[in-house]
Order: sequence, then structure tokens, then C-alpha cells
Amino acid sequence: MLKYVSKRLLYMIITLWVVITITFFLMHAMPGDPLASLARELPPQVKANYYAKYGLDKSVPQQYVLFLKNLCRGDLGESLKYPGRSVTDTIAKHAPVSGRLGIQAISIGVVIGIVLGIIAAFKRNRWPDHLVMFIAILGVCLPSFVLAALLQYVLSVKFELFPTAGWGTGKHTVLPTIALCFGSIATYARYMRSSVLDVINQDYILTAKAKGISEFNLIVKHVIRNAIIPAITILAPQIANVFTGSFVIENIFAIPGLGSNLVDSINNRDFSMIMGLTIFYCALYIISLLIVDILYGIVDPRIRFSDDVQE
Amino acid sequence: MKRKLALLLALVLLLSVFTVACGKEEPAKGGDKEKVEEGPGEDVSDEDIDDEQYVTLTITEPQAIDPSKSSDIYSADILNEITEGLVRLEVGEDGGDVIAPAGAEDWDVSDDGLVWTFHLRDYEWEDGEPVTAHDFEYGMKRTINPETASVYAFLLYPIKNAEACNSGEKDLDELGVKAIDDKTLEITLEGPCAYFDKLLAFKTMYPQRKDLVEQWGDKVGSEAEYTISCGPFKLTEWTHKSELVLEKNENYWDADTVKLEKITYKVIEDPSTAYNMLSNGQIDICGVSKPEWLEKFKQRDDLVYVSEYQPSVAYQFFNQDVKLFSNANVRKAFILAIDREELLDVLYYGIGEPAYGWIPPVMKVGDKTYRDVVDEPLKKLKEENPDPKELLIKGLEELGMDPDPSKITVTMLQSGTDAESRRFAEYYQQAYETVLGINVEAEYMDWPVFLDRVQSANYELAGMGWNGDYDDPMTFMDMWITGSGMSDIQWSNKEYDELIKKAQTSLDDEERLECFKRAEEILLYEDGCISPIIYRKSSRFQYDYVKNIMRPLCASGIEFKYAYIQGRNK
Repeated sequence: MLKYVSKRLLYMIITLWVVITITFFLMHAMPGDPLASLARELPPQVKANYYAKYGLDKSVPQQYVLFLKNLCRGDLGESLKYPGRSVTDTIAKHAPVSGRLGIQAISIGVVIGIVLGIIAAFKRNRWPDHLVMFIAILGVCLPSFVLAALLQYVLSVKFELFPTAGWGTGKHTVLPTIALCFGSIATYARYMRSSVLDVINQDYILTAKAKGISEFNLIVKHVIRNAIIPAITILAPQIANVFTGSFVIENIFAIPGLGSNLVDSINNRDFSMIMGLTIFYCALYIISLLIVDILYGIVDPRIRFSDDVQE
Repeated sequence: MKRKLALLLALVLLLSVFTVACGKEEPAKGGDKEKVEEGPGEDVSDEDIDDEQYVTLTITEPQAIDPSKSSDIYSADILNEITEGLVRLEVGEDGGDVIAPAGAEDWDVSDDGLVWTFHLRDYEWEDGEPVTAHDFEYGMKRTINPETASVYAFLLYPIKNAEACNSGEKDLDELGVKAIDDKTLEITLEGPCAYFDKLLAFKTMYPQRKDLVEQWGDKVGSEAEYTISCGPFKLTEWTHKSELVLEKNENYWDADTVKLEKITYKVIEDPSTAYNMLSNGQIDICGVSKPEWLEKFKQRDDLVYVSEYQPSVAYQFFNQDVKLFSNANVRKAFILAIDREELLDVLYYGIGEPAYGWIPPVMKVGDKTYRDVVDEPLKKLKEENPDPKELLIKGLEELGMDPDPSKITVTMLQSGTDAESRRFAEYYQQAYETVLGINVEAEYMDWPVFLDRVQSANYELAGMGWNGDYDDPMTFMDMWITGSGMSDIQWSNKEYDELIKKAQTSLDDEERLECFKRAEEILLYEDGCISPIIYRKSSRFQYDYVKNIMRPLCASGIEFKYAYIQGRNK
């Protein structure tokens, strides 16, 4: 297990390095620089001072080496768009905001989704099943920003139950959380329903039933444990999606999360910020994949970690 | 396999982010500038106004509250509220800008116009330290210092040796800014500059605290705690990308005039969210440009609609290196092919004014409003040439090209890739095709790419907006002299260059006005270099209880010094 994890960590670093390298050169291949967002012609001297200050006067390979050197020291540099803000500070300040929202949305989405999926499976072809599947189809079809706008208009503008936008109190998180978790509820409900349907036709369920086990114990001990693997598989991309995909929601509810920072940094060619955020997202993504792989083993001992079991 | 998948997914993730990013650029670039109908001065007694004096509005995240390093109008907006520079820009009775003495009680100018001596009033920073001439000297030297890498350093270039100091050729001590004593500041100019007084209100001229800047280092202006006020308000809270809170600065020398206790700026990027917040009173002032919301808000009795001139023009331009556009008649045909009145209604929902000249209304030369005395050159061009297509065919013949317009295909660059950009490009496409009988293809790209293409003259036809920096036609005219310019149109005209040079060094308002008049005539009427389309105007709603705010033409935002709230809860 330890060997497996450390091997995965090593691969993770290599993957990160590859992504960093590709992003770095792609980024510098994009036309335009941070001064472009000013939309004005600057005297050459002013440009030269600016490039010199941020090391943009050096060749791209030189900048790359410098960047890697600084990265090894844990220094991601200073934002080019927002003077005085270090990239690490920005991540430290804004990631928890996206994270809080994401974790709220994911937990609610997963729990409700799984419960709904189980209900649908056990009551299949009856009205609870139809209702759940209706919600699921709605959740998949309805983009989160449409739902967000709808929630904002009805619950905030019309009835003034929640603040329209902003960040600070728990109340501020209610609408964006609902908007974000609706999609995951739908996804998990669908996956859970079909895998529960698979499981409840297995022999061991019949055996368990024959032993006279209570329905609650049957579901918790036998059904969920065997049916949850597909749900865990889609959890990893969901976690990363919550961080990146929340840009639209963050925009609508004016939430100071990381999503808007990333889009902003690319629009403004804020090179150091683009790199910092890419590294952050990428690491997050790879780590969540690793966690999911470890979770597999815990949930289902049939999946073992050893060198001879490669994917 | 899984590892490869991880990498692939990470890349896809990255790509998707790029795609999202491409869709965000606005079709017309540049900051929003507005202006208000009410003037200052109107005194109200404290009994008439509300007990609660606060106002809430939207803003875009400012870069840094640092006069030297920030380059956006939002930082400048906050800086204006928390800093008392030499002067403040205010709105005069005629609606134009007035330069009001502020940190400087008065100033003398030497007869040759080169030496400006400012006499500072007694006033203090938030922490009780006096504001001195040394603070002004330090502030300007910090901006000019090449190590600061200030983007707006060029606005100080009229000052003696500023350009040389900015390039490191000369020592900063040689900069023409000197504190004679604590209360006397002397600025020496490189040459005569008729509009130098118009630059005084700019943030690059603000005082800065040497001790604090050195203590804070790179952090200056990045958080509320790294700012200091000497103006009407102070920045007390700043949650990045969320909100900024300004409170009244009790230490301000003119604190009695300031009625507002608190200004909250909410960082809201999504227009619909802002409109929703305006409609239920969570914000008091909001710029509105979407037609459906304009209609909705106009029907409300408690909201006041304000639309004012900005120092801003939307224009189309031609690359004269392209054979087709090397001919003036062809260019003029393109200029005349656009029905500006119709375009204003369709693309801008009536917000703005058709532009038949390059210098927008309300801009002044000395005390005279330029557009009041100079006719718009394109009106004459339009009268003389009722049929643009005829002009095009004439031009084609002069070029020795096939005179059949339907065989011509022009590529038009459009900044932005979203629906709004398409709406703009498709309108122009259709207008040129219908009137001139040519074919127009649109090429969409995001803003930095667009800018790269037009600045390297790698385009045929494109459009954008230009915002002036200060209240003088020079900010619109010097960009077309040979070898300079935001959009590279590959045009050079000796007479134009000489006229602008003369206007740069002359101190005679009449003479300068004549220079600009003739230069504008060459630019538009004779050579048809660019095609001004719309003089941009602001468009905002504010609740009727928000009183006495003003928006000077060349300021970066709303001036709240004189504002107050009356009747919010009635």
C-alpha cells in the first residue's frame, strides 16, 4: 500500500512537471502580454521598464528555467495584473471560498443523489422511481447557470429570502450551493439506481434476505457497499469540476472564488497567475484521482494494490 | 492508462478554461466614463438629510490602490476618493470639467509657462502626519523610477527630464520636481505644455508617503491595511473580488463638506446580478446598458436615468498598407457606408451620439468647448458624396483594379468571440455589403490577439474604441502622428505631424484650436484615415435619494465628496 502510494506520488510529480512545461510554453505562444488589457499604445520606454521588472524581456526558455527554480523554492511569483499580490496568497485566500462551496455542493449532491438512487431502484417502475428519474433528467438538462439565475430571481429578488450576491455569511452560500449540487444529485441518482439494480439481483443479496436480515441492514451492509463503486469513480472529476466549473456560478453570485481568478488571469495574460493556478488545479485533480483509487480498495477489497495489478 | 488519462484530462480541463476565456472579451474596449447633471456647491443643512449616510454601488476589482503601479480606472476611482492631490476634477455649470484647487490652494506659472509653483494648504494624512511638498516630490519620483515599472509614467513626460529619468539615462535627482520647502512644490516642464493643468488631477501626481512605501515594499496598495488616506474617505475594508468599504476620513481638511459616512463598492461582474440588486435596492447606483432592463428601470419613479458624454469614440480603421485601402476614395466610401443614426439604435440601443468627427463633444481647448466651434468634418464629406458606392468605384479605377465591387472581399477583425461581438461584426458586415456591394468576412479573436494584430498592421479593416486621458483634444490627436498610435494604420502626413507638434508646444488657445481643426480635417475629410462611428455616452440608473454626485468627464469614476442621501426610507 505504502509502496503503491509513493509510486503514485512520483508519477504525480512527473505528470505535474509535464503539465507545467506544456502550459508554460503554450501560454507564451499566445499572442499578447499583460499590457494588452490596457488597450493603449505605450511609449517604448514604459514597456521596456515593465518587461524588465517582470522578467518578460528574457527569452522564453530563460523564463522557464527561472520559473522552475522559483517553483522549487515554493515561490510562484507576483501577479502581473494585481501588483503586490503573490500568487500563493491569492490561492490561499480564494481557494477556501471555492472549496467551501464545492464541498458543500458535493456532499449534499452525493448524499441526496445516492439516497434518491437507492429509493428509485427499490421502488422501480413505481411513482418514486419516476419522480427521481424526472429530477435526474431535469438536473442533467438544466445548466447550473440557468438554475442559478432562476433561484436568484425567485428566492432573492421576488421573496428576498437570501442575499442576491456576495460572500460572508452562511446565508450567502445557500443559493450557489443549490445551483451547484443539482447536477450532481441527478448524476449520482442515475448511477446509483442502475448499479443498485445490478446488485439486488445478485445471489448474495438473495442469501442475505434468506438469512432474515432487516431491510436497513441489507441496504447498508450489502447493497451500498457493492453498488457504490461507479459513484466513487465519478467523484474525482466531480471534485475538480467543482473547483473549475464553478466559474459561472461564482460570477453570477459574485463569489470571490478561484474560478473567476483563473479566467481573469488568462484574459489578462497574467502569466504567473495562470501558472500558479494551473499547478494548483492539476495537483488537486491528480490527488483526487489518487484518493479515489485508495477509496476503491477500502470499499471493495477485491481491488488490491500491488505491482502486478496494473490498470 | 490511468496516468495518461489523468494528463489528458488535465489538458482538456486547461483547454476548456482557455475556451471559456476566449468568450469573455467585450466588443468595444475601454473603461466606462460617465458624467452627472448636478453641480457641487449646493449646500444642504444637516437636518434635511437622512441620519444614515451610506451608498452602495458596483465596481470591478481594482488592481492595487497604488498611484504608481495601478493602471486601471477602478483603482484610480478609489484613489480619487482617498487622496487629496494638488487639484480635484469637478463638474462646472456648463457640464464641462473644472479644475478645483484642493491640496494646492493656488499656483503660479512663469511667463514662459515652464515653471509651476504650487502653494500647499495645511492638511494631514489619516495618521496625523502633515502632507508636504516632499510627499508630492517622492510620489512623482517613484512613478518615474524605472524600477517601479509604472505603466502610466508617460503622463509625467511633460515634466523636465522625466523621459530621460524613466529610461535610466538621467538620475532621478534631475527630475523637474522639487520641494522648495514643506509647503511649496516647484515643477519645471521640458517645454511649454498648454494642457499641463489638465494632468494635475491624475493619480501619477498624487502625494505618497516615503516611510510607508518603504515599510510596505511590494505590498503597497494590495490590501486595505497597506493604504493611507489624505482625502475625503479612507479605505477600511477590502475583501478581494468581493467588496471595498470606504468610510469618511474625519481627519480630512474639508471634512465638514463630506456628508457620506460609508461607501460600499461591490465587485459584481455579472450584469444581470447587478440589475437584480439595483431593482430591489441592494445597490443604489448601477450602469445599465441592456435594452430590456433599460425599459424596465425607466418605468420606475424612484430611479433616475443619467446619460452623459464620455471622452470616448468607437471607430473603424483601415490598414493603408493593403492595396485596397491605400486609396483615399475607397476609405471614404467605407466611412460613408455606415448609417450612424441607425447603427446607434441597433448596436448601442440609442446610448451615445453619431460621430461625424474624431474629437468628442464637451472636450475643451482652454475654456472653449472644441465641438461648439468646429464643425464635424464627416458631415461635409457626406453632403458632397451622396453615393458611397460611386466613390468606391472611382477609387477602384484610380487603383487600376477591377471596378466591380462584388469581386472584392475584405476581412474585418473583430475583438471578442461572444454573441455580443458577433452582433457587432454582423451588423458592419451587412452594412458594408448592402451599401458598397462588396463581400466582407469577419474574423473573431480575443482581445490580446486582436491588439497584437492591429498593432503589427496585420489586418485589413477593424474597429475598436478610444478613451481620452485628459480634457484636451491632444489626447485624441497625437495618436495619429507618424510612428505612434494605438491602431497601426500605416499613414503618415507631414502637415498633420507639424500641426500636432505646434499644438503641443503652443500656449495660445486660439492657435491650438486652429491646429486641431485643420488636423482633424486632414485626418477625416481629406485623407479619410479612420471612420469615427459613435461618441460613447454613459448610461446608469441611481435612486432618487442619492443626491449631488458628480462625474467629471475625464475622471475615472463618480466623485462622492459632495454627495448625500436624502429620503431613502420615505
